Amino acid sequence: MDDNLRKAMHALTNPHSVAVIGASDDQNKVGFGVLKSLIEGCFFKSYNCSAFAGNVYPINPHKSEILGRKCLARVQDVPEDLDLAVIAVPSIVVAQVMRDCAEKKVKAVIIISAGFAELGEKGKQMQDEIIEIAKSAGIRVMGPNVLGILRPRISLNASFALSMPEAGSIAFISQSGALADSVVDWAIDARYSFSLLVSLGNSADLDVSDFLEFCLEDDQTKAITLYLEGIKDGKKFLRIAREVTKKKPIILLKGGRSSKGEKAIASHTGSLAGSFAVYEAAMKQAGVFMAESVEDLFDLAKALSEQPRVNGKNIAIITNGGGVGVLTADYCDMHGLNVVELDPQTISKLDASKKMHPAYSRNNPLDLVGDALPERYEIAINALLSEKYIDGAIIIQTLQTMTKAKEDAEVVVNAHKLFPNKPVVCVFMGGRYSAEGISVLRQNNIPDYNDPLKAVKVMKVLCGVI
Amino acid sequence: MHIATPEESEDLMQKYGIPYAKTIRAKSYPDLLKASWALRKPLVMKIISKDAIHKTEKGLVRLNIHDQKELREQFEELTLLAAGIQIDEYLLQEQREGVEFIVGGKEDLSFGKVVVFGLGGIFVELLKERSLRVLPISADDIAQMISESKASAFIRGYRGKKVSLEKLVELIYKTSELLQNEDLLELDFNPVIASGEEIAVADARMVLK
Repeated sequence: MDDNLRKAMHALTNPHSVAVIGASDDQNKVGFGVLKSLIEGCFFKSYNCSAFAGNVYPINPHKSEILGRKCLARVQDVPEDLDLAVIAVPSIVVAQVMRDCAEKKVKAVIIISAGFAELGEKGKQMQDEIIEIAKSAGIRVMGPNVLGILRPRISLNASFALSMPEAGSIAFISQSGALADSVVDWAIDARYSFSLLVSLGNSADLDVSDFLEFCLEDDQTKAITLYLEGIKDGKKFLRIAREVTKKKPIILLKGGRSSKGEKAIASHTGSLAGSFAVYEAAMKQAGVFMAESVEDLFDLAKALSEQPRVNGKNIAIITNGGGVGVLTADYCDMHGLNVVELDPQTISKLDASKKMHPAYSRNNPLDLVGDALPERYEIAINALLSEKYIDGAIIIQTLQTMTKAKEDAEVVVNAHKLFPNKPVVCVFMGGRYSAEGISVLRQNNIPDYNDPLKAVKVMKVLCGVI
Repeated sequence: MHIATPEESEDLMQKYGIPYAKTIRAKSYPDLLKASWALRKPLVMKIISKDAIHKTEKGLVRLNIHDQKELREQFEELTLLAAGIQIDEYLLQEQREGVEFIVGGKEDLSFGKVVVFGLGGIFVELLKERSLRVLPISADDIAQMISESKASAFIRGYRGKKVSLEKLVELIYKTSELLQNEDLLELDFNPVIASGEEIAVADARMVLK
């Protein structure tokens, strides 16, 4: 990341002072939502809302006060150096506002306003003009046509998103603002937590690759999620993504897979290498994981930010139910994970414990039999995870009358502490009567899914199988 | 944008050291006969006509021509069969036996040049069995790419057919160099015919910028 970009990203993600140009007292206007979100941290209150600590300045020449803050007529009237200006005025006046920002020497600008290149040639011309003004003043621009930026850890909500998700270690960079907005709402109850949320809009200046570079250096971010439809500069993306994925995982959900509107010229290759196929290949080369759905995207990211990654694909399946074990083994096979044959020495260890059921499977999947109590799980999990040839474990619990969900979960948590470098993913299948166990797993950052397919997909990514 | 002439295609393949089945073209039987003396038998004869794109379906491809007598017979049969179609030229090519692959490339709008490898021949579009990579790529990448395709069964050997991985990697690598250095929009080597240590492009189609 060059210095200029680093400075702009710092102003965007950790501003000391922010102006909202086009602040409004009309509750139905974006200029109101953005101002309120900045001042209070959220438009709608959630458990994670608190006020932003920086200085917030509403700019509106026609109002004297909004939300208890004195309005300034122009951005030049801000009485200190300005890190960030958020522009929410009609598109036709953005150019003038950008000139004001240039005069004020604002460090970074977010243009929320829509009505530019997305509308056609005339809008594109306006957009080019604005970027030209910003460039000659050395201002980096996010947008136009964006939702804004959220940085939960410091309660920075320079957006019109409806609330604030919990602070965490997943960055979400989205080409769709509306998708990001809905993810925010969903995350609040689903407890997905974020280091950063940005929408890219038209990416007239700062683009996805710039934000990837930032995430690589950002201490808060452990995993990066992307929703993209198209990438303008694919070569730049590949170059940067290659560097990023050496250190932090990137997971991509791609919109627009169908090949409608694609023109193949006159060859077999044309039909074999449609744009989605090329996308998949490019991502594979750059080490980027592809998600299949929105839920998949965040499940994978969450697991990647919580569990260790390994370079190997020998998986142990430990279960108290044969059927779910078989399903899990099937899915492992489908997804390129190896349900590794257990070594006779491992079996001897298990036998020597004298705690295994006489009919236990003595192979992988390791079926502990339905009446397995926490002790049996503990012996099995520890015995298997201590083996060098086993890279990670999927632990399944089905519910029987004697099953102790909470204690089983605690066994898993302890085992993970003993073997912190091996990924562990759980399938505590059930609902009401497994809830206590599931909650223990969640609190201790052990991924848990009701569906073994989800667990396998997550394990696949933890094992680096692309 | 134009489709490369056979001469342009051959020049490019030669420039990059890509092996291809030796081919000659002629408009008359005497010229064909003369040209055939320089080729290794058996031969394939095809009719080149802008009216006939899928030559196999129309029976406009003849195999296993070993001598002058067979050349004459096939020439006459083909000419008869092609009545009503404008015959631009007759094509004679050294016949290759083996497994048919496709090696291709194109320029993608966002990621640039890509190379494609898969099972070739007439079922290419039906099976869509292929793997691809964005360029540039290393020889190791190519080996990996081949291993991802079902076509890799022939590297290990399948139904008595086996091809050399090294030769295949070499051909794809040279194709990737051609793609990167030349102003090409699309390229099809289909089929590339391989058997043991032998490999050659039997049909090349290139779209130049």
